[in-house]
Amino acid sequence: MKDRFRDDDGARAPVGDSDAHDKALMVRIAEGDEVALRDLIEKHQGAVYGTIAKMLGDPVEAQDLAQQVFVRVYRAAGSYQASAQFKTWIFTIVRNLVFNEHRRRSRATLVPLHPPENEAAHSGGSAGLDLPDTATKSPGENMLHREMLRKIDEAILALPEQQRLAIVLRRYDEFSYEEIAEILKASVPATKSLLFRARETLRVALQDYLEEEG
Amino acid sequence: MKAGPPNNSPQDVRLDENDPVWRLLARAPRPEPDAWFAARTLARCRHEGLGTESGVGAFIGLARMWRWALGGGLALSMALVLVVTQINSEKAENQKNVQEAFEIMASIDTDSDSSSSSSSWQDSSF
Repeated sequence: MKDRFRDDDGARAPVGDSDAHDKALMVRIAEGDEVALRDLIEKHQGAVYGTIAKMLGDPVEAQDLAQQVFVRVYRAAGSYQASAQFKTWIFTIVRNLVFNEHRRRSRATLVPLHPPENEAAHSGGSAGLDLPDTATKSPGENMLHREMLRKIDEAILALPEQQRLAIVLRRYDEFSYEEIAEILKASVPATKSLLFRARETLRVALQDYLEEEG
Repeated sequence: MKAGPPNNSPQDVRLDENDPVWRLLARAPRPEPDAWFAARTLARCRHEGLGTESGVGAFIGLARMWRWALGGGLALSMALVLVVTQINSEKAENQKNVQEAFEIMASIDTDSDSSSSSSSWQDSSF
């Protein structure tokens, strides 16, 4: 790959025009611009990795799959057609890889939903982010807080894969119903129905915590 | 967590934010990748991204066809085994027939030899 350093043109587009910025980056990646690829990865890594980690509940596997997403983006840069929104397109790749991984797992042995705490901490998982807040919380409160986070993640992981992806995209990535429908290859009413059922399932699973909050 | 996505209607956003489930989910944030994720991904793209899209597509197409290929291969090998077995048994049958024919011919020859020698013996007695 040629390593060209450019700081002009469309890749430095206005902040509000995020999609045009992504598309301009894709054009530069197709031309072999490694800086554009790094920009694109840095811009989307949080959303891509975070979504996959929430979907799989395994930070190590999530890292590998998130990297595969960007490898696919890089390989497809030459043939990329800027007809749809870039974010929708990249999350369609995420969807395909995550669903394939689910199928692979269902054929293979069962994988624990939550890795050991020390492993998650090393690999950037949610347990790693949730460091004990010794300044404001007592050890008991910290433990309860961690327990709550674990229960929330477990409740999300227990959802069927379509509902899970819909809820993660809506809650954590703040996609619109139309965008989620496009990613899931479903209609908007079907997507709304998926989200409704997911919320109701989560409401039942997390009832104890909802009562505490209420 | 932001108040709501810009491409969502205010009504949708209000519906989300008024839902206690939604607020509870926000307390378990999405995990973030580590600081070296981008560098590692870039290295992997350099390493794995060398293949062209069409090459990758062809490989994926082949990988998807592996079940059919396995089934087809098994059926083909079974057919091959059957044909080879058939040919071998036919060959063995033919060899057996030829052997029997030789044995019959040999026995005929022996009979004729013995009759001729006996006649010559009779002749010599004269």
